[in-house]
Amino acid sequence: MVNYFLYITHITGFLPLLVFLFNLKENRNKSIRVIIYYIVYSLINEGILAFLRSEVYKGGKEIEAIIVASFTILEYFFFAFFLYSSLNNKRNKKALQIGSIIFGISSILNLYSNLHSSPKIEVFDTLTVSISAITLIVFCLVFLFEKIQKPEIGFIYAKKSFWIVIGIMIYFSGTFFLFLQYSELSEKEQENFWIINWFCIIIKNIFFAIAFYLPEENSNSIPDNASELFYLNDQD
Amino acid sequence: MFFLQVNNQHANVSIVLFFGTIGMLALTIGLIVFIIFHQRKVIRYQMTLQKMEYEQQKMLLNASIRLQEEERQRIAADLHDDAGPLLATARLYLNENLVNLDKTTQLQSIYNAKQIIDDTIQLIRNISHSLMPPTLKNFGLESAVNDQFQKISSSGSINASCRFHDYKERLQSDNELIVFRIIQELINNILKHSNASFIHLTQNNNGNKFYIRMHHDGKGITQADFERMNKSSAGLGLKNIQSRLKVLQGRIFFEKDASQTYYKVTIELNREENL
Repeated sequence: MVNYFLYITHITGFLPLLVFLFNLKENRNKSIRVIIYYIVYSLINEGILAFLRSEVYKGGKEIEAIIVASFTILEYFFFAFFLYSSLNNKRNKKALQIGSIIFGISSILNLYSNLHSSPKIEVFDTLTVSISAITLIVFCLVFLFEKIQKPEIGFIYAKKSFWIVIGIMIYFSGTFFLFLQYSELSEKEQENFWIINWFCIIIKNIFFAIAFYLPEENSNSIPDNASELFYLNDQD
Repeated sequence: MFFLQVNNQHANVSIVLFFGTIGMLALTIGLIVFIIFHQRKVIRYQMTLQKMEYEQQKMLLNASIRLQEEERQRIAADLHDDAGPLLATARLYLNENLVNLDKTTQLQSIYNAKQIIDDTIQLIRNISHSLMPPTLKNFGLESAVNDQFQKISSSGSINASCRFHDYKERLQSDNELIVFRIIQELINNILKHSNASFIHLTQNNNGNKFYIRMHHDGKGITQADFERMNKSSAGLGLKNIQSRLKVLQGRIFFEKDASQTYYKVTIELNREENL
């Protein structure tokens, strides 16, 4: 079953990319493109990590730790950039900037201390991942709160940004406790519980694929027959 | 299945992890569902408002078209029933046989025809004045309203007075005409339905707001009546007032005086937008 999940995770990794290429015309937005760069980067990262963990590679764990830490940092900044361009309120944008600077500094210091000060190199840096998850979840909530405050004529689930944000939220909230407790778990437990991560990655990839499939966000308008359909569907 | 394989010494960590993850996912999904439903509710509310506004606009437009048609019919009737017969009579006096008649009869016929043509000119002038009052065009809203009130007062059936407290800066001429038409419509309603013994109009400015207030002691309507009539198919004149005010981006309030003796109608306009 573990292998089965692993294969599905790898396959769904390509799903958003394929949908993006298939629907290139509808994905010209800069903030949306950042997500596709992230997907390409995570696929490359997976490849590199697979090589480093294989029997072919004979080196130490240092490079693996650097690559994993870099992925955490870059993943954060990809999502932070997306959220920054999706947020409307200037104060929220400023808060995200400050949060990102603090995260950047703390994660670099943490990586340095992991590589140079700690007796044993930890490949998976729990602290950095947890800070990243909390910050991104908070700003995803801020994004959704902004959407609630600014009522638009147009369903929220018809927007690309919504699907991306809920993809990010589900991924980070689902893996939050796993990443937080990861260093406390035995190797066997880490292996068993890692299925949560795969499950969340699958959900995230599906949501990103939906986002890339949707038409471009260009107006607040609704289709001509939307009100008619709405009234027909909602009788409560 | 996988979660059951954990060691006993790490049981607490596993439980926290398992339930923490479930809890976080449940919270996130709950929040997302809440947002979707909340937004649907907001959209539904907005659509209802839009639909109501659309229906209101449709009603106002219909009222305005009907009123325009009525006005056209009135002008057509005036021209057909009054000017037409007058000109036909004048033509009879000036027919071809006139040259064969004696000089006295000729002069009499020409005199009669001249009289009829003068009457026709007066009639056409009256029609023209009813379409665009010359006093309003030349001297502004204050003079036109004064003129109108003097005419009503001189009829003797009702005491009408008006006072403009601060009208140094005139509204745009198009807007003056709209305000004048609203006042005319209100006066018309008071004369027709209220059975009042007096009407008093005052004009005032307060900051950026321009106010016209009318008092009368007859039977009037309140804001609730006005809104009800606006939504129903009745009250063509009121709908016309509403549509005219929409052009000026103004508001109207119907209320009963605190003493319960008088009815008040207040028209409120933004000066900056209408000057």
